[in-house]
This record gives sequence, structure tokens and C-alpha cells, in this order.
Amino acid sequence: MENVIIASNLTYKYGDLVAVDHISFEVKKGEIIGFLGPNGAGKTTTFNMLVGLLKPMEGSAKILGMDVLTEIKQIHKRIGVCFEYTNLYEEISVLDNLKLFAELFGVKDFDAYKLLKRVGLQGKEKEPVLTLSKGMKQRVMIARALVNTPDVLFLDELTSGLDPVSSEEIRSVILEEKERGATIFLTTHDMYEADKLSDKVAFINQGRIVAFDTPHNLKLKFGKRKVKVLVKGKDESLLEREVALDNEETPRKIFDLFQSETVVTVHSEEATLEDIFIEITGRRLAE
Amino acid sequence: MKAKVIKALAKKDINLFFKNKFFAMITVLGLLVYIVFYFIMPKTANEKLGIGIYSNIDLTRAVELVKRTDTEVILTKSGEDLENIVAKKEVMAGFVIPSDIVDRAKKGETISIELYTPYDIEPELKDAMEYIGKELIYAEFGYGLNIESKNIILGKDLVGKQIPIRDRMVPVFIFLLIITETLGLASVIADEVERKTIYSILVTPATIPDIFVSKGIMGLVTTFIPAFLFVLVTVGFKNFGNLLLLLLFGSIFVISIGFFIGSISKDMMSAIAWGVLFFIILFVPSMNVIAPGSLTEWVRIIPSSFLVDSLHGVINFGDSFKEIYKFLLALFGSAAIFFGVSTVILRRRFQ
Repeated sequence: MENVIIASNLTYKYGDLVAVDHISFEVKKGEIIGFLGPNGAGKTTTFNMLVGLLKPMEGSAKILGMDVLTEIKQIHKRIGVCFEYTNLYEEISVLDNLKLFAELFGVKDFDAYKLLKRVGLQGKEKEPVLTLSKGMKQRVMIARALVNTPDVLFLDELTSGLDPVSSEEIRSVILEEKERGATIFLTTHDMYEADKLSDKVAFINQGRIVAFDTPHNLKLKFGKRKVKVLVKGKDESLLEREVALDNEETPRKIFDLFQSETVVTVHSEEATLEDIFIEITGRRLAE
Repeated sequence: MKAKVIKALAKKDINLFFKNKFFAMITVLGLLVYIVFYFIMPKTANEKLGIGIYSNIDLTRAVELVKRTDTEVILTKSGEDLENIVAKKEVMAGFVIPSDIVDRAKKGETISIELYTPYDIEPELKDAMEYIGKELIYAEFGYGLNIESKNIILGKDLVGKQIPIRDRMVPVFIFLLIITETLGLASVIADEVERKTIYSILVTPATIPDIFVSKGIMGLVTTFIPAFLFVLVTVGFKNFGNLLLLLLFGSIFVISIGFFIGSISKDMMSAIAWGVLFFIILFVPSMNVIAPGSLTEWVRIIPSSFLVDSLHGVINFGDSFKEIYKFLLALFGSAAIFFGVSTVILRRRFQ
């Protein structure tokens, strides 16, 4: 399968601060790559270099076989970008916002109503953007990124600050795009989102990629499986006990628990991406 | 640059400009108010009657006599001072009376007195001034002399073309109409950067030059069209070609100022604050049109003087292309500098 995004030694500095430090990765056609890291890790700087808003100080990147430094306008014709911040034209209507971008991309027979229905904004077409809630604005942002039916989608902190329902609906649109065949570059500090959406996850910390694999492989490689047992305490309160799996002592420890305490529930649990991130970097994602 | 992209961006910019009720209102109201001002101003000029005299000889008696006719008399210390007060229209005319007037009169020579008049004095007033000059000499010396009046016209020789105040104000109104639009243009630019909407455009096939050209088109719509309508109502088709050229170059100049203000402003409020400051500075040269001679040559360092002076010349004196092309070049050059600096600042801000 062809590589749609190829980053080689991408580097960017703000003064003395190295925001992105010689990172390299590849994303295949139709894959979703999740760039996972805490605030200030270098996710948005990488994002901005890939979409042509920042020029890499070292290294290079290719999108759809084209160089971001020399062929960025050709690249822009085939990508959709959704920023972390809401940057819509708030005074004009939802419809006019989308029509503007359809004209900029030269989209023929653009059907804004169909697109807005897809993101759950039917009936809001004529509303000025400034009257919409944050969740609705984010849906308009997604719709705007999809105006040109892009081959590659760049999504920066897609569901940051949104309610769970809006987040879930937006994620389902992204999965539809993957089904269509779009390649998706997603930055997030939400491990649940990265786990749910991404084919591959890159952990970025202090400007460097510290791990890059499928969520499943990362969990196998770095995660520790465990059993979570709820037992009844003396005052009838519930207490939590953890027993690590994949250990010689595991059967005996579980047996002992059943012997010595009143077990209420037993659940096996695999490590989350957050656990693995902490394991690798010593930092939490929410920092 | 792609025409369809620029068209889409310009349509959006114009739409956003008129969505802002404040800017929409000042554009429409400005046009209406200045047209009303023009029509309620007097159609004719009414100048104060007064004369200036420079002479080394004692003219006490003559001055007293003239003053009795309700004519103001100002005695100056030099010929240069006399020229200045005539040019500033503090008096209607100035007389230079030679110190050897009596000796030459005795020899029977014809005496020449210099009469300074402003360029736009009416012929009847000029005749009256010559008469006053002769009466002055008669009053002082008690007998008529063989006097030959030598007229020196200060400024353009436009005898008989006295400019009514409303016509004098037309260039100022045009300038006010178009300079006001810098606020709107600057705000749209500053807003685009502040709200980061510009980034959403930059990740489409639109380029930075496309964005600048579309903003320029929006600027032209909001500056040139109101000024053009105002000219049609007030001036009509007089010297139309030159006037259109000036409106176009003036609009381009003002757009460049709008770009510059937009590039240095953080948000709409700072754009308005900077806009007011630039407005005050750029308005100064207009004072020379309202009250000629009120400012010295230093005012030429303010580039709006090229616009106001040339508008004044074209509208009120029928200046030809030959007379205004230097102003057009100066306006274009100033605009190029402001556009250049703004481009550098804006590129630095969003890249």
C-alpha cells in the first residue's frame, strides 16, 4: 500500500526551544494515524508543518507524493484541514461559509445541504455561525474540511472541549471518511479518541516520537494486563484489589483473594494508552 | 492568482464588511452627509475687505482716510510679509509704495506701484483695489500722480474664478469619504488575523497574493464607489477623466493605508485606534484647501497632500493630466511603500 504521508527528520524550533525534533513517520493510504501527546509536546507544530502553515527548519515531508515545501498549493487542493481552534467566519451563515470554501476549491455541483445533514446540522444552514453552540461550530469545521472530498484529512484536537454526544457523532463522521478511503492525520491528547479511531498511534513527547505502532501492539509491548477485583470490606464498603496477569504468582494471588475476602466482582483489564504513555515517558497526557 | 478564487474571497470580504453595521452605516451616512453639506453651503464667496501696505514713507493720513471707509488696513514691515498676508487672504490686496515716489513725481515721471492680489480675486474687486491705491496716494500727497498699477497675482492666475466655499470643500469631502473606509478595511484584515480565519484560507488553493488582491477589491468597492457617486452628484462630468484617475489612485493609496493599519493592529479596537491616529495626520493637508496658506511646505511630507491638492486642482482649477501626473506617481509610490511594508508585516504575523 502506498505511503500517503511521509515525514523525514522534520524539525522546528521556536528560538532555542526545539518544538519538533527530527521526527520521521509514514502513513499508508486509508490509515488513521493518531498523534498522541500532552500539550506542548509538538503535535500542533508537526500538524502545521504538514499542512504548509510552518516551513520545516530541517527535514522534509511529502503528502500524496508531493513536497510540502515546493508543491504545497497542489497538496492543498486534495487535503481537508480542521484546526484546534474555531476559525469560521462567524458573521455569515453556515451555508455561506461552506459555499466560500467550495468556491475556493473549485467544487462543482457542491451540495452543502447533504454535507450539513451528514454532520447533523440540517436546518441550521441559514444561521449565522456566531449563533451556534461550540459543538455545532465544530461540526461546521468538520463539514468545511470535507467540502472538497479530501484524500487526506488533517484534524487537530478534533473533539477538544466537546460534550460526549457531539464527540461521538464527530468521530463517526471521521470513521465514515476512513471507509471512503481517506487517510487521516489526527492530533489529540485524548487517549480514548486515539485508541478508538487510530490504526496507528505515535506517542510524541518533547518534540520526539517515542513510540509508533498500532494501539494493540503498543499495549502488548508496553502494557501490563491485570485483574481488578472488588471485595467487601468490614463495614460493607467496596474495596479494590489489583492482581497482575502474566505472572507466576497470579493464580495463587487470585486464589488467596477468594479465600480471604468476600469477592464481589472480578474484571480483567488491559492497559490504556495513557498507562503506556506514562510507562514510556513518565508524563501524563493531560499535563 | 486565480480569478474564481479572488472573486470568492472578495465577495466574502465585501459581505463581511457590510455585515458590520458600523462600517456599513459610516459608508452610507458619510456619502449622504457630505452631499447634504455640499448643497447647504453657500454657492458664492464672501471675502473680508481689507488691504495691506508696504512702504518706507509715512502714509498716516492716507491710512486714516481709508480706514474711515470701513476698510481694514495692515501695514507690513517687508514686501515678503505683504505677499504672505495676501496669499493667506488676510487682506484682499497689497500695495507696495516706493520710497522715492515723491521725488519721481516731482520729476514728472510715471510712478509704478505694485498691487498684490490673490489668484482667485474677482475682476471687479481688482479694479476696485487699483482705484483704492490711487485714492490712497491722492489722500497722502494731496494731488494725483501719474500712477501705473503693476499687478502681481499670487498663486494661480484665476481672475474671475472665485471659488465658492462648497466647491472648495469638495476635495476635502472626497478625502473624508475615502479615508474613513480605512477603518473598515483595517478592521477586516486585523480581524482575519486575530480570529485566525486567514489560516483556513491558506490551507486551500488560495495564495497570499489572492488574499491581498481580494482585500484590495473590497477596499476599492468601499472607497472608490462612494467617492465616485459623490463626484457625480456634486461635480458632474467636469474634467471627468482626470478626476476618475485621481479617485482611483487616491483609493489605492487609502487601501494601502488600510492594509498598513490592519497589519499592525491586533484586533478591531486597535485598528480603529490606529485608524483615528492616521486619519488625524492624513487630514492635515486638507487644511490647506480649506484655508489656503495656512500650512507651510512641510505638509508635503504627508502623502495625503498629493491627493487633496490634486483633487483641488482638478475640481476647482481644471488641472490637466500634465499638471497632476506627478501627484498620481507620488500617490502610487506612497501606496507601493505602504503595501510593501504591510505585506512583510502580515507575512511575518501569519507564517
